[in-house]
Amino acid sequence: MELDKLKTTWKTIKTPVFSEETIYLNKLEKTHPVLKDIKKQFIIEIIGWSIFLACFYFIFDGHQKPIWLNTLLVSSVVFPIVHNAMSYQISKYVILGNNLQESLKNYIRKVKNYALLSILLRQIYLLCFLLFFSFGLNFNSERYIILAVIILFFLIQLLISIKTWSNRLSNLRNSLLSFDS
Amino acid sequence: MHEEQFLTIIQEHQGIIHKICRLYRDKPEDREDLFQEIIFQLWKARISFRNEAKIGTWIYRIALNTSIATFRKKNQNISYLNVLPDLAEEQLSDELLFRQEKLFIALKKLNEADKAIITLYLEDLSYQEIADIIGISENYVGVRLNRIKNTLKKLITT
Repeated sequence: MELDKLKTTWKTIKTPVFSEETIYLNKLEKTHPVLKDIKKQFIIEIIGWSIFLACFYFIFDGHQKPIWLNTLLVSSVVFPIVHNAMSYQISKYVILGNNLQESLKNYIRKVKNYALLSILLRQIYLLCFLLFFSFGLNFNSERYIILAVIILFFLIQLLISIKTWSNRLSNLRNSLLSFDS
Repeated sequence: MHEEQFLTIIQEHQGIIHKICRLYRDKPEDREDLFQEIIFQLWKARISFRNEAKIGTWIYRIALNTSIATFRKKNQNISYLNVLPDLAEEQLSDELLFRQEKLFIALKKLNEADKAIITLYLEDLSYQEIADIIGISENYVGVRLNRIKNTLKKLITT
């Protein structure tokens, strides 16, 4: 195909035609492919954590543990909620500049900060839970093995999180680099 | 910009949004998601739309930005032979369909920036307009376009 034919060919490409109603539905936040899932997860988590907070004190022997440990556990529940709220923000605000390069640079910065916080918050709240449930236990060899397995599980999920975020950031950085190459 | 005005503008310009979705996503369901994401971002960005800017330029900027920045789903089964399914109101000749498919195959092999630059070129935007949308100098647009044209020539003739 000759290059002068590129434009002609491009212009002959037929595209679907959506009605005004479809476009109207597409602009709504409640039908957004990502935001609606984050919102759903947000609501489910808040209900779950509320139930947990309402009964952990007696079911999981909170009343037999020090106040500081109970406070730590309750505070750590805020982390996944903050994490979800940040995730919502990241997905909602994608356009962050007056041109593609500027916007992408700002977006990468935002995603990088989110990724770091996401990994950090998850580790903190998992550690708080581990501390709460292992506090006051008499450790024998069997319990040490269980603890080791839990720590191993933490490390694996930490590595997976780091790898997932590295890949995402690397894709975005490659896109940004392609503007200068 | 009022809602009614917004809907009319998007309906008039939706063709280019569909083309950008086809260029940046392989699976039909991913294209649908991207289309929706672009409409959503345009709706949110309508406040920042300056009346002195051309509406088309604004739509290209937001659509390309959204396509590049949003995360793609993993494990895509790339199917280059997939011609847009829900259109054929008028029959296109086999030769034209073949040319279109060949063009898309070649365009999809370009990197993200080159895809954006060539799309704007194919949409008849001036070098200055392309430079403003991408955030590079007008001269560099010329350099990049020459390079892209050479790459496309090789891709299409091989």
